[in-house]
Amino acid sequence: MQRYIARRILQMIPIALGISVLMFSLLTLAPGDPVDLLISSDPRVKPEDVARLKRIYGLDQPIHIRYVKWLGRTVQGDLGWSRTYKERVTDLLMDRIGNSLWLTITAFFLALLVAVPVGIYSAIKQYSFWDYLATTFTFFGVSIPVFWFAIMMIYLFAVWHPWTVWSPVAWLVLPPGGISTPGVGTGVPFLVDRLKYMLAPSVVLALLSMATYTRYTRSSMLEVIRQDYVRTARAKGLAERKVINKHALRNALIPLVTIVALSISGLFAGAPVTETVFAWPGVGRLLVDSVLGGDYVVAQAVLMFLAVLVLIFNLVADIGYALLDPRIRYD
Amino acid sequence: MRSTSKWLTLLLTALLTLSLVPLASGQQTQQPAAGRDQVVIGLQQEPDFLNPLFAEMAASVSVMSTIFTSDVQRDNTWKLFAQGVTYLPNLKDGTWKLDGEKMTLVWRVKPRNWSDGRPVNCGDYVFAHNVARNEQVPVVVRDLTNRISNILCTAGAAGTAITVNWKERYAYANLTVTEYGALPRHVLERYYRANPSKLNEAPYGNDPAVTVGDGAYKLIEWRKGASMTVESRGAHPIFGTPTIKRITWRFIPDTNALVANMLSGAIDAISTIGISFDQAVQLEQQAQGRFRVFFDPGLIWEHIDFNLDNPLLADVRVRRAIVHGINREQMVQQLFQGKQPVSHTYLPPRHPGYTDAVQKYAFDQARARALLQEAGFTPGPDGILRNASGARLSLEIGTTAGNRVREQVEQIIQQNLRQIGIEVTINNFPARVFFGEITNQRKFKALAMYAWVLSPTSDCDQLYTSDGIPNQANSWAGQNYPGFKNADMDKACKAASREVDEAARNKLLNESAIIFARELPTIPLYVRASVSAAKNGLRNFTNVQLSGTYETWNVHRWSWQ
Amino acid sequence: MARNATAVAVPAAPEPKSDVGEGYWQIAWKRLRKHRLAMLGLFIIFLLISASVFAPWLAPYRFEDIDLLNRFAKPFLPGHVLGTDDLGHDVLTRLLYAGRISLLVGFAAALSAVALGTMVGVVAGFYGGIIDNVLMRLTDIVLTLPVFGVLLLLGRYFGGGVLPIIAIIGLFGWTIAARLVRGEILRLKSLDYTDAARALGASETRIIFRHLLPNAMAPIIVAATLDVGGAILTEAALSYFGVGIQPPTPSWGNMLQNAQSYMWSSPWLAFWPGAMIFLTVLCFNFFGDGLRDALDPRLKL
Repeated sequence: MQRYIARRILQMIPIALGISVLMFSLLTLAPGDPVDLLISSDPRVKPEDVARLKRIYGLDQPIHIRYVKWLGRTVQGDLGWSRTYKERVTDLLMDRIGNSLWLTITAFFLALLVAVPVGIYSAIKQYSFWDYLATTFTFFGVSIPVFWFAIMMIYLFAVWHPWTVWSPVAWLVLPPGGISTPGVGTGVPFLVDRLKYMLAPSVVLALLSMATYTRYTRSSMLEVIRQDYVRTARAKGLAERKVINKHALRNALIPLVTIVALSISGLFAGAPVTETVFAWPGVGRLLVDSVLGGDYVVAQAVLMFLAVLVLIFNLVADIGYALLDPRIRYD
Repeated sequence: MRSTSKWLTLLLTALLTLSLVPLASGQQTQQPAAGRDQVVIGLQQEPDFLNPLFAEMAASVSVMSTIFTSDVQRDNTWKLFAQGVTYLPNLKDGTWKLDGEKMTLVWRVKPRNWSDGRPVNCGDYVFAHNVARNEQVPVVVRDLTNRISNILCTAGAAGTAITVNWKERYAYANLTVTEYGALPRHVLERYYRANPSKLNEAPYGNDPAVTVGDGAYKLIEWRKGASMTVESRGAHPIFGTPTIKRITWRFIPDTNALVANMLSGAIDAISTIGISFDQAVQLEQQAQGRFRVFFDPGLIWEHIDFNLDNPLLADVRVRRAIVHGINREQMVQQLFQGKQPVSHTYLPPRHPGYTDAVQKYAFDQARARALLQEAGFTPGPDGILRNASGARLSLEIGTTAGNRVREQVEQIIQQNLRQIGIEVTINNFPARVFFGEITNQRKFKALAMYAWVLSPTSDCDQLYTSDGIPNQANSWAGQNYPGFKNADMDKACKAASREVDEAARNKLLNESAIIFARELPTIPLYVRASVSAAKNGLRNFTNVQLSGTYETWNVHRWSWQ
Repeated sequence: MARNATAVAVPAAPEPKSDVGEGYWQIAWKRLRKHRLAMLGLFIIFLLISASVFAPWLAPYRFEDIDLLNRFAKPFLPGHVLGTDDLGHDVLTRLLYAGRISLLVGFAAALSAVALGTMVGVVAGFYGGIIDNVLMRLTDIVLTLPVFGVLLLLGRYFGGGVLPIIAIIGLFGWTIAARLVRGEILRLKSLDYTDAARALGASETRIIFRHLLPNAMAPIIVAATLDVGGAILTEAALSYFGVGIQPPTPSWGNMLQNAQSYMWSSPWLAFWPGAMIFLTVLCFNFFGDGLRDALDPRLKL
């Protein structure tokens, strides 16, 4: 197992390098560095100012030298300095990862808590009304445009909130975006405030995963209950509940582990839209802002972070699968 | 199934508990959001940096005016007044002396302390100037710094008397002592000595602990991506004791969220760096007397450059016909409810050099058709005009993609001009391409729509002078994107930029405005309004958006009713 | 001679090829027809396509018609059934024309993605060895890329037009199809009839186009169908961020983006385009799902 993991990690390196070269070239070869744009945005900026700044920032050097320098600094943990955020990229990224985790973790558990029971129920009662309802819901979940859903949520909860005429639920007005109310304090009030801001975006973010998990739980459960050992258990006269809980469930959840592990990085990567619409200062929003705002030091760091995340969770998924499924052996 | 139902019960209980927590307390939307001695302002951008040397964003300038003292500042009527200095140097009393091409200005700085208690002195001004002059320091703008030959502390480095010697004549030399004013040498020098080319990465301007300023407030907290708070320093020799103890800026990049925060009362004001015009209009509709929404025409001038190298546009009659053919009045009435007025020249009405006595081009399709016929255009079989050599009068217009208002204007112009036989095709570019290539390398085929952000000191040098036409040889310097060449214009603009007497300068600018309106190198569209909002109870809040002055210019005089 | 020989001598393919027995496709069609959701999806897709194709005849106005005196008209009133937008464009008209662009982008991008993926998959699966290794590492890299960020980046440089957007989406959407096709080719290659064809002297091209591709058609078709929905969503997301299709060319995505500024006063403007995207993608997913069940229920997609 250890040798397998070591080999897998070694295999990750060329892929990560390939991605970094690809990203770096894309970002560097793009026309018009932000420094070039200064000249047209401010008449006081002269061509010699641009040349001077490029020299200071090392932008006048050829791309391969810049890449090697970037790589050298990156492996030492120095991701550079952002010229638009005026901050060390490492600090910026850490900060945003923290914010993203709030959302990602909530969405993740929200998705699991809904998907697993629904998927199981749906499989046990295959072709029932609830099964059809759940299946249709999964289609909705994968088909809905996230930004539209988010906008509609904002409209419903922050702008329109028609229920406010009924006083018992009049408080249910959510903020249309942001992460917290300024000066909210710490402890419980902070958590309550954070919850209020998180509710809509985490539901939006959870929806896609929820649909995917439900689908997988249902199909893997269906597969398992048709297996011999489940039939045997039933034939032994065990109560249906016991059969499901003791025999079917455990085995049915094994493939789900893979999907779940694979999708955690997807939750991060899927967050740009949600985070942007809800103005949540997370990694996804940082990606969108840095790409659209031309801060390529930050964009490169975020893109690499997301790619490495995918690589790591792919590995986690494989290892998890190997550990859980006794049929699979590695050496 | 037990565990499943247990989970479900748990989930339901959790949701129910959540629903019982009063999430949104019923806020009194007219009351201050945080307390009677605090103000919460919504900002759409987060400041990049609070170090005057490196701050590039308007949001930073807006915040910095609370924690720094400006040498000379403008009020909400755009009038200059001495803030950090005791007087404005002038030619009459000899504090501003002309010596051939060179000049000397003598200043006296008002005594005040940095927020860590050390006095502000001449040495701080000299230090800031020397830093800005250093080739290694990534300061972006060095326009004034390069015009200054040296600075002398006539009463020693610890004194407050400063003499600034200029290499060349410059009309606006009395608007600031040096380009970047005073910086706390005792804090910054350490970082500067260590690595001048990474001075912008130093914690000064970022970390509240070391960001000392000489303004009425000091930075006490900066939660990245969320908010920033400054606190009053108490009695200040220049600003007195502010009534408002704390000001918090809340960064809300999503403008819809900004609107919602104002509606719910969670913020007390929206900065001029906040919402779009359209959103301000919607906000006003929902204000219901709780807050005021301000609309004031400012200095941002929306216009469309003609590419004068395009043979179809070389004839001034065609350019005049096009302007006659666009119903600008209806456009601003319908799109902006008249709150962003039509402009007739390149200077906005509130600019000191503005004159109303220029040729104006009212919407007049008959006149437009007549002018086009005069210029030799006759309708072709498709209804589009053609000149004698058969070229169709088809023009391409471009602007920054994603700017909704400009896209609206394009479509209106397209419809307007079709009615007089001119075809307009739309081809927009992302802002970086548009400004990085299309306009500044003059690659637009016929029409380019964008805005100039002017200041009260803007003139037409480089903007409409023939030496300001960007080309390969001058590495695309200059802002004369239409390619306008006019000897009279060159003369007026060059003279204006060197004229130190304000009245004489304004006369020259009037002259240039008249030439502009006659020759029309550009279609003047409208002047953008600065928009902001504030709760009714917030006294002395004014809607200002100048290049260096924002609503925070008089923050020490704000109070709650 | 060789031609006849192959046709006869090749052992039965795992699924009968289209030219040998039409049974397979007929059975699939029968199965598909029983799939109610898929048929509903197909029907609505058909309606949507017809509505877009016949937009000039169906639309009550010309798509560039603006009416500054009638901006933000509310929906369900005579004259403008779905209301008007910020320039007084008729929203129904805009939706119909935007559908043309969005569906075009969806189909073209999915098609190019699947074509590219098929090509990569076939080459990798058929030739194996170092070529396979290189192509699959490339696939790994593209799969690991934070695709949305890369799309935003490319959209920023090349976006705006319909063609670049199709190319960008196609360029990064081929990986799933490539893996599927490669797997299928490897499976088919291991079967006797490929060897038989080779033994009989059939050229590589012939083996690929006559024997392998037709039998790998099922996953390709299913992948393509599901991809159309994905591509429509991607285009909408890019347009939403302002790097997709640029106005005045309407697309559902840029209509939605534009509407967001007017949410306080005219929320319906944001509702319609999003609902159209949702409906279209939903139908493609219904149809794709039914198609998979009908063509190859084992397929994991």
